[in-house]
Amino acid sequence: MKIILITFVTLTLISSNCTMKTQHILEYKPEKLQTQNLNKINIEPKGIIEIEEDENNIIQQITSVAIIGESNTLALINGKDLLFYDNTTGKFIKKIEATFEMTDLVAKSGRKPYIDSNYERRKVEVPYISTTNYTQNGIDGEIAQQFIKNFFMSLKNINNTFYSFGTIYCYYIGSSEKSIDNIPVLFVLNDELNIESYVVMDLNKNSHAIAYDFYINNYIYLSAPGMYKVPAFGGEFDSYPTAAKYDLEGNFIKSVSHMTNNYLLKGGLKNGWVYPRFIEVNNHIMIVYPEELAVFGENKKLFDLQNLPFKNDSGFVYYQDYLRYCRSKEMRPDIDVIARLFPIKIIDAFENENKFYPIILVWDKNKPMGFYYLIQEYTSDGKLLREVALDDEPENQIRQFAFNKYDKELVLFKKSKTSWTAEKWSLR
Amino acid sequence: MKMAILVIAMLVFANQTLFEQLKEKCELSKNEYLIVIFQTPGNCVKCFIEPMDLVELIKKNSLGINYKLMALVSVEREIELKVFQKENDWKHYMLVDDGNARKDLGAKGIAMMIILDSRGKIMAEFLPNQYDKNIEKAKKFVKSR
Repeated sequence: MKIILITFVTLTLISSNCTMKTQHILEYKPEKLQTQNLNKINIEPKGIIEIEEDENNIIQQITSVAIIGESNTLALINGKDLLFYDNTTGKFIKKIEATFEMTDLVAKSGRKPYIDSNYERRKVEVPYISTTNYTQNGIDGEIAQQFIKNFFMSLKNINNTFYSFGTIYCYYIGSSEKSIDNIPVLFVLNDELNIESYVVMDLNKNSHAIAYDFYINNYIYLSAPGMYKVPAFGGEFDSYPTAAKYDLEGNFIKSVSHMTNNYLLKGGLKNGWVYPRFIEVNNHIMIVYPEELAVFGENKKLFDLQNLPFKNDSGFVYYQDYLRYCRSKEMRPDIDVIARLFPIKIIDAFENENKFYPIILVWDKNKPMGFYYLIQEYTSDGKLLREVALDDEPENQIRQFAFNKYDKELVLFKKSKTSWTAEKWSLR
Repeated sequence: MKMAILVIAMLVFANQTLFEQLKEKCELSKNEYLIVIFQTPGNCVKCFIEPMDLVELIKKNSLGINYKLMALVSVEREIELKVFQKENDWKHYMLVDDGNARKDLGAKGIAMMIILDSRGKIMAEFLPNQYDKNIEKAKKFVKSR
């Protein structure tokens, strides 16, 4: 009887403790910090173009965008398609589809699925299977077409050339079971906007690259999450890789960034990958993460972002408990709670005249829409010079940013009930 | 007069519950069930195949059970339904999910598919990544009819 009573009391205490803890998280409000009034980045409206849509090219979401000012071309990724437009008129030029057949680029590249003894299907070295060898490997071509939905993922203008990474799926048969890998393939486009060449990336067990973002100089930098902890930040602690460096043929060289202590605290791999963004400033690669309020170089922190109105510290601490609470209630995480846990989110960044510009989403209840965008200007060594805040409109919301280096234009891609527009602002 | 009728019609439509809209859209009759899958264009392949496998299972084993299939698609513009239709070669009913569909139909926030009777009562609810449980639920639904 005593045991039952003690168990009951203990369970009641644990349960009420959990509820109290969750209640605290659900009601958490980030503290507003004192900020300085800095010089304002001058941005002035320059013009708006409507992006042409038709039955065959309905833009649902712009996942990545790049502009080559010199050739007056705007490129964007919409689902599996890469679409090109005239940057002055918004008129559609052409599209490149990520086709099912692209799977053969991987199969015929000589790359092989990586070995990982922790997975039955990855224990032995086997080849990728080309579409012509489906029948002899027991793969139904029709079913394969249902599963293999290749798509373009990220896009950049680097020195007036469009580069786009696609996620290309390819079958392999490891330990008699059929599996599919997702392999990033870099496509290089020529002036006629055709694919001129491609590079199939090398995956390994601790660098399964997913081309969320990339940069190319003498190397290819790519978001490349790893499944196992390795010494990180100069051996300071062990963590999961998040980004890797490759030679221009796509061969892996090394991991260059890892989950910070904050991301480990947030739950590490348990709560998903962490995707970095890459920007080159003054010939140095800079790496930023959505919630980590700092700028990183290869395997080191460069500087903290400054003069921000909130911190994300509590979010990293509370996030796991909040997710646990959502799972127990079989509900999706509430955007309102997430916004309070992580009031600052780095959504993009660009370079201009050797300066670094992070684009930051600030969740602030006191603003009419509950948030605003903050663009800051830093020198390459982390000195904050200027900043500017941008408000959004409820009926015509900003969905993507781009910087046109040639025309010095910040371009806001907005979506309304009727159309997509690109709003151009000159930046001085 | 025309204007008044239009306004009344708009008011009636505005007050219609989501289930009533679905029922009207697919002309659901008394002895029919409505299978609703919740979709987002550009989602992973698995997110489409998982509920469709369950639909296939119900179809194969449901001799005498009449149902209609509806996709509630999370898009912002009606025109974007065509993206979903094309991507998945969708030949059934579909409507825009404004983000509140699960809540309006009384489903859990993470539900990937539900089966409703002709009065809008949830007869079975399927959650993602619960492969075995979902198959059991589908079988149970078929058996109970």
